[in-house]
Amino acid sequence: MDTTKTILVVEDEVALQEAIRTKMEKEGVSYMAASTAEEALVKIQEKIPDLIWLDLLMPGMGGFALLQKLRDTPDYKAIPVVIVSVSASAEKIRRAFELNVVDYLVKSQYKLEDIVNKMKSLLTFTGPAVN
Amino acid sequence: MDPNHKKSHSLLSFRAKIIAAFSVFMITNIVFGATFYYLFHRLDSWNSHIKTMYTQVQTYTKLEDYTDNIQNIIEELATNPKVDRTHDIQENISGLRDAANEVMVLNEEEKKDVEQVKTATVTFIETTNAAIDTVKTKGVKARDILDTTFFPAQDKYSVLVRTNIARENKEFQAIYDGYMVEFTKTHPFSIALIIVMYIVTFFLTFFFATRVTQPIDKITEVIKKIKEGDLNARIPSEGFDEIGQLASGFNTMVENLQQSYAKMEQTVNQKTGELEEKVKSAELQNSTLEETKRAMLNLLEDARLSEEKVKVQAEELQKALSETERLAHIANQERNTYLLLISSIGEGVVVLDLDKKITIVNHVTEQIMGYTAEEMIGKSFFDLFAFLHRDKKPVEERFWDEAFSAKQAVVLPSDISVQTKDKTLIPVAEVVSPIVDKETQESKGVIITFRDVREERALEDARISFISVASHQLRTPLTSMRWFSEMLIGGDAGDISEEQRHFVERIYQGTDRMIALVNLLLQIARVEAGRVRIEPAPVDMKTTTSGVLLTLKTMLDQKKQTIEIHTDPDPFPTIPMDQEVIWQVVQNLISNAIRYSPENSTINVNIKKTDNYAEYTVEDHGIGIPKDQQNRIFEKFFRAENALKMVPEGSGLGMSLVKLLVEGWNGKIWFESEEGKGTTFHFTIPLSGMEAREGEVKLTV
Repeated sequence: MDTTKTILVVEDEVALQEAIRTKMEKEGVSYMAASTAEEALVKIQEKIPDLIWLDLLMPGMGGFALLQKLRDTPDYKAIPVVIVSVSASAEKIRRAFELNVVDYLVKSQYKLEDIVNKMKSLLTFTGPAVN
Repeated sequence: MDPNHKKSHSLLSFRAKIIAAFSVFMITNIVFGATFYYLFHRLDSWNSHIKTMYTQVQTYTKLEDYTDNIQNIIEELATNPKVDRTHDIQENISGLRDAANEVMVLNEEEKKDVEQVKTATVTFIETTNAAIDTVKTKGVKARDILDTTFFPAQDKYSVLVRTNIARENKEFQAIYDGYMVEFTKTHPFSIALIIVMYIVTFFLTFFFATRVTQPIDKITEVIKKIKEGDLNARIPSEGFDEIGQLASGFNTMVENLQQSYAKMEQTVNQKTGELEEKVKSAELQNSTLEETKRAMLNLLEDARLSEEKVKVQAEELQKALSETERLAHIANQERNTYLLLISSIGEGVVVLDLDKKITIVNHVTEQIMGYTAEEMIGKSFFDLFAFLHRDKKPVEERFWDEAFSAKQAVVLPSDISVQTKDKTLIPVAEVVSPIVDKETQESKGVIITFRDVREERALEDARISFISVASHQLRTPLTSMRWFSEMLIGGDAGDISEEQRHFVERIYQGTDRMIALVNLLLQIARVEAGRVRIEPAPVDMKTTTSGVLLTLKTMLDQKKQTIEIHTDPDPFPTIPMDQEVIWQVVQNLISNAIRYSPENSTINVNIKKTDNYAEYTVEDHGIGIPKDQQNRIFEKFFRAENALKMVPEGSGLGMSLVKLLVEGWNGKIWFESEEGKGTTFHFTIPLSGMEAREGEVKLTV
């Protein structure tokens, strides 16, 4: 059985994708990347990730629309999502938790290392998202 | 006792006493009179007797003297017969003769003697005459004859006379002695008796008189006392005689008098009272009359003065009238000038009266609004002009009320637009100023100036959206820089030297600073653009403060500082506030307090209730703000010199954001600070809290 966990990182900033990928692959996590919400959906259809790292400020559909979509799709409902955004808006945070995100992290408040560790522990303690 | 009762029949009757006394007195007088009459008579008889005797003796002495004279003359003639002594002899002889005739017969016993003397005298005179003749005839030789005739005869005659004289003297002496005896021994006794009687009578009379006068004195005394007003004086009892009756009668009279007097006094007092009243009212009337008189005089005087004044005023009125005409002309000119000025102003000008009706408009107003002046003048302002906020809500009329109440000029909110005639919305900047009468300080209306600020608004919007977009665009690359620096430091790209680490740490710190700066800029831009939504919910200040402290815990622990929170009252009432807004304010102030205070210092947070406000205070004992830089603290990007040294990474934007937020909820923010001692910041929140406000975004970026 393939015990390697997969993480889907939805982030439109290429530089940040690069940094995250470096970190994740160091931790031995299988890395999927998407720059837009639409792209993320395509990737999810290919393979359901164990965890989704979701940025909110993206062109196109936007993070919340994707989140809504996931929750509305029975197959994708259970995928754990962690929002990592520049915005500390309480509004966004509330909305996010209403859509059952596991956590909401504000980029400026965390070191990349810390975020990566959080992701790691979440991956360790969650089972595969596939029923 | 009835004074008429006892009559003078009583032995003690006073009249009887008086009569008795008087009788005794009369009797004594009579006795005394009689005695004195008798004595006087006796004295008189003695007196005449003595007188008679004396005369007798004198007569006899005369006889003697004449005899002696005759003898001497004869003697002389005898010696000197030539001398003429006829006259003298005749004189003495007649004298002798007369004297002899004068000899009186005083009693029967002397009759003989007297006869003898008379006879002897005649004889002697004859002898004498004979002698004279002898002398005349004989001359010197007469002597011898005379010695035998005359001289012995004369001698004999002299002896006879002398004997009679002696005898008369003796009788005289006897009478005198008898008189003396009677009047020195007998009569004095009776005199003394009379005197005693007189004395007795005197005392008796005196006594009875006193009996009269004493009561009368007493009565007089009592009358005197009564006169003096002592109506209680009474004559003491005087017995039952008339005086007594008089006394008691008098007493009774006084008694009655006293009673009458008392009654009278009463009546008098009463009447006096009434009289006084009448007098008072009369006086009052009198004074009223006086006043009326005076008032009338004053009125007359005033009328006279008024008349004069009227004359003067009429003249002045004439002058004023012509002056007024002149001034009206000038005023008109001035008015035209002002209207011209108003027309020339480059902003829209509208003047409203107190009924909020349009009185004056200028050309620019016509241009902006699309109405003509005629269409606007006289109409109600709010009927024609509709002002809307950015969110299309109408602007509350209260904004204009302050100006109408002459309190102060009002600058309307910067987001308003006005709806023109064809319903376009034109953004305007508007100021409403009260028109105040300089003397009475009353409002006479308002003057409104406004201008089309489309360009400005657009500019402002552009600026703000630029800042928003820019800030957003900046945040992502900043995050990227931050993470990569972090990875470098963490050795994710391999080991790095100490120096390399140090450099990258500087980069990392730099990105942190920029992130903080960008976040603040974004927030400020949002607030200034009025895009921030306010959603008040009950907030407990103490809890919020504690929450903020949690996020700052690392800093606090690092600097080993303590923070104390006190509320007054405790617990402090919750206030409706937007959580994000109050958080931002509190966090800014407390993080400043921490950053600018030294290690181990204390920071005090006090929340107290004052009138309708809550006052939040953050007190630190840090570096303070220098006095010459205190007025710039709320400027964007301003850092005080000492602050810059201590915390180089500060942006200088925190305080401007805090000020914007506090004033946004109509609170006040101020501070006290002394360089080197510390700073205390205060801000107020109305207890009614923040007002809800619509907006595209919340404050947190």
